[in-house]
This record gives sequence, structure tokens and C-alpha cells, in this order.
Amino acid sequence: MTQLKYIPERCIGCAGCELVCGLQRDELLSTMSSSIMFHVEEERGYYGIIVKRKGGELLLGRPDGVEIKRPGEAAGGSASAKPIKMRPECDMCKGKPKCILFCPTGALEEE
Amino acid sequence: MPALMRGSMLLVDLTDCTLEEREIDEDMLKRRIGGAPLLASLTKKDGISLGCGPLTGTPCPGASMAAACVEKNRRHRFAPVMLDVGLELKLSGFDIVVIEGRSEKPVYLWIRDQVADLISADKLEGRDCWGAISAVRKEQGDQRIQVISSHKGPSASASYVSGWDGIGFGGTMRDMNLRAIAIKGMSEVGVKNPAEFLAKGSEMMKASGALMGARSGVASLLHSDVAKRLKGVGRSRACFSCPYPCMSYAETGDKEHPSFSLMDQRSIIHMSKNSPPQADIVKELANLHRNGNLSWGPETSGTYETMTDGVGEYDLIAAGYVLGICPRFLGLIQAPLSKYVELLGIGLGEAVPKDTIISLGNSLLGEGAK
Repeated sequence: MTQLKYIPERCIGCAGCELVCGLQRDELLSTMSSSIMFHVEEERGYYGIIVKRKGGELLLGRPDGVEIKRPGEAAGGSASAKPIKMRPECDMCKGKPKCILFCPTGALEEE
Repeated sequence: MPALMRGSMLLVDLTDCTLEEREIDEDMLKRRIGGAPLLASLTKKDGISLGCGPLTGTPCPGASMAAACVEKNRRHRFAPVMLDVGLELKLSGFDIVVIEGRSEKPVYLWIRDQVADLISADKLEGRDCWGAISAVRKEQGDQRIQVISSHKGPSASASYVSGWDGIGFGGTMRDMNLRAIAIKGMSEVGVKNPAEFLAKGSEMMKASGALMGARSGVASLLHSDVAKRLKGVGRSRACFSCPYPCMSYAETGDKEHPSFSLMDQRSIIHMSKNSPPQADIVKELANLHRNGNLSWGPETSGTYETMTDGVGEYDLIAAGYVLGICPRFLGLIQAPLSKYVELLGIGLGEAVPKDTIISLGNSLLGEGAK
């Protein structure tokens, strides 16, 4: 099965992918059930995404690169209304992922 | 719950410390559509308000905008609040927040998940706009909370972004003893035809992304001679669901807040004309912004001048204030409004004429603006 791939240097931090995932899953505007979580720290000029992939592994997309954390490994990240570990795994939309179709810069791809 | 909006507003009276949730009259929602027209109908005397348009916080290009409104001397003035404020307000459970009165002690308003509280701003005492943002996020434990904060000057900062408030929103907040408005969206909003809506929004996003080309950062809004004067400017970022990353992170030289978001091209242009060549515009701007000031000083005479200096596409800008689409983005790339109107029809499950949207926006924003 293919997985989601993140290319940080292409990302412009619009966070649309997070909402698109929630809309695809719930047919509502909401980010709470999204498999993608946008992470930003403006005072450090920092942004990226975390994706909960198949098998519960986390893709940490940082400005300086991408790291994969296996289940049980500490992932860091700030507190949130609904932590990424409690969210559903990305199922690649059972076809063509909607976040890839939406992303205006090609920062998300299949691998 | 109507589609694309929750049909709910939050009324805050700072004098009595009361908060009330109220339904927005369905007929009013239909006639006024959203954004600035709704605020013009609902904002109280000498009060302020924030509101979403039907496309705010939806997956389509430029859908970041919440409208801010200040009522003074029976005149409504509007500004676009950018970054992720619109998204978080959309998902907060309230389409509109209407604030009136004056609090006896400094407070901040904390809105999330259909709940709102007025909280003592003791921990914000002595802090500037940026310090207030950090303190609220720390107290509530989430970096994603969008915070609009006020300090000494007339302009508010929205999550380290200044330049959008040319209407004295920040100064009015301060006079009301309201140090900050903090918003986090944990709720949900319905959409008619969600699959079709998402497909159409994605098609528009891809097309807009292609139109943008390599345009990026605040420098892309400036003449090259002016852009050359910006030192310490780094990575660019877009507001929510926008293909145009017109903001740039800039270095402050301050350990606590090493970076801030720069999209205030109006101040940069003004400073480049009025400061000596050796002046560090970025550092001077950082100092102005964190205190609630802009370099161009007094409030603008009209809404169109906020964030859209020289853009001139009045109908598009007016439509942006109704729909919740960034007026800078719409005007600069001359986005096809008919596509947004089509998308709105899909999401609402009924068509709204393009001319209705434009005339509604122009009737409000034309006042002293053109």
C-alpha cells in the first residue's frame, strides 16, 4: 500500500490539507478527525505537519526534513485539542488522496 | 444548522460581564449572506465585532478571512483578519462575535467549542501585543490558538501579524479593557454536497497555485528597491487555504520572540520613503507592531485601503468581505469570482447571484472608501 509523502521545501503552510482530510472523512468542516495535523510556532518562524500513517506510525514533517516515528516512540509536538495519536490513520482516501489533489504546491505526494 | 455557517452568534457585554449565545435570524442570514454585511447589521454602538463569511474556513483559495468591524459615530468600518483566525472562528461554534461595553478590569475573551469565557488579564499585564499572545497560548495550552491582542497603539496584532488593522480595532479593544480575543475551533460546520464541494475547491486551488507561479513572500508585494531594504527576512508562509504565501517570517533580534510574521507592505513602503537608507526597517517595524502601531500612523479613511493598497479591483474586494475570501488574494490575482459563486451554490445547496454579492459588499465598503 502507498503512503503519504511530505516535501517540506514545497510547503507554504496553508494547512488546507488538515481540513480537507477532515471534510473527506466526516463530510463536515472540521479538523478533529483529520489524520493530518498542522503545527506552527510563529515566534520561531516554524511550521510543518504531522501525519498519522498506516500502522500508527507518525510522519513528522519539519522545515529541515522528515522523520518517521514508530508507535511507542516519543513524537513531541505541542498540546492540542485532539492529539494526533487519538486520530484515525491515513487510509489514502482508499484511492487518490484528497489532500494531494488539493495541495497547491505539490508538497504532498504518494510514495 | 444552515450550510457553511452555524447560524449562531456570541454577544459579549463587557460592562456586565455577560456572554450570551443567540441564533442568527435565518432570514437575515439569507439576505446578508455573511461577513461584513452581517456585522453591519449586528454590531452595537461604539462596539466591535468579528465574523465569518460562508466560504471562510473552507477548502478553496484564499478562504482565510474573518471580517473585523468597528462601529464609531454610526459608521461601520471593516478590516480583514488573516492567518488562521477565520478558520478557528468558523469552527468555534459561532459565526459572529459581537462585543460591547467596557470591562472594569482588564480581561481577555476565550472562545472555543461553542463555549466562551471572560478571563482576568492579570497575566497579560505589562506585556505588549506579542507577549499577550504568548501568555494566552501558554495559559490555555495550545500553540494553534489564534489571538488578537491590543497594546498601546491603535492597531491590533493577530498571532504576530500586523498591518491588517487600519480601523482602530486594537485601540477600541484597549479602550474596552479587552486585552485579547483568543479563538480555537474544535466544532464542526455542515456543507451540502461535500464531495462536490471538495472537488470544486481543489480544482480552484490547483488552478490558483499555477497562476501564482514563483510569487512568494512580502518582497513579492514590493518594488525591488524597497524589497532590498528588508534584512533578516526568511521563510514565507500563506494564511489558511491560500496558495499565495505573501507573509514572510522576519528576525527581531529578541530572544523571547525571535521571529514575527511580516505582511504589512503599507508600513514597509511608508518607512522606505521616510527613513534614512541605513535604517533597519524590519527591526523598527517589529518594535511598532508589538506595541500596536503601524508606520503610517492614523487610521485609514476607508476599508479598501487595508491590505489592498493599489489593488483597485473594488468588486472583487467587496465580494471578499461578504464571502470570507482574502481581499488581497482576490484582487491581486484577479480571481474568477464566478467560480467562487458556483462553489458557494454547491456548498449552500442553492444559488446566490453574483451581482447580489457584489452590490451587498459595495454598499457597505464603498462608504468613504473609494
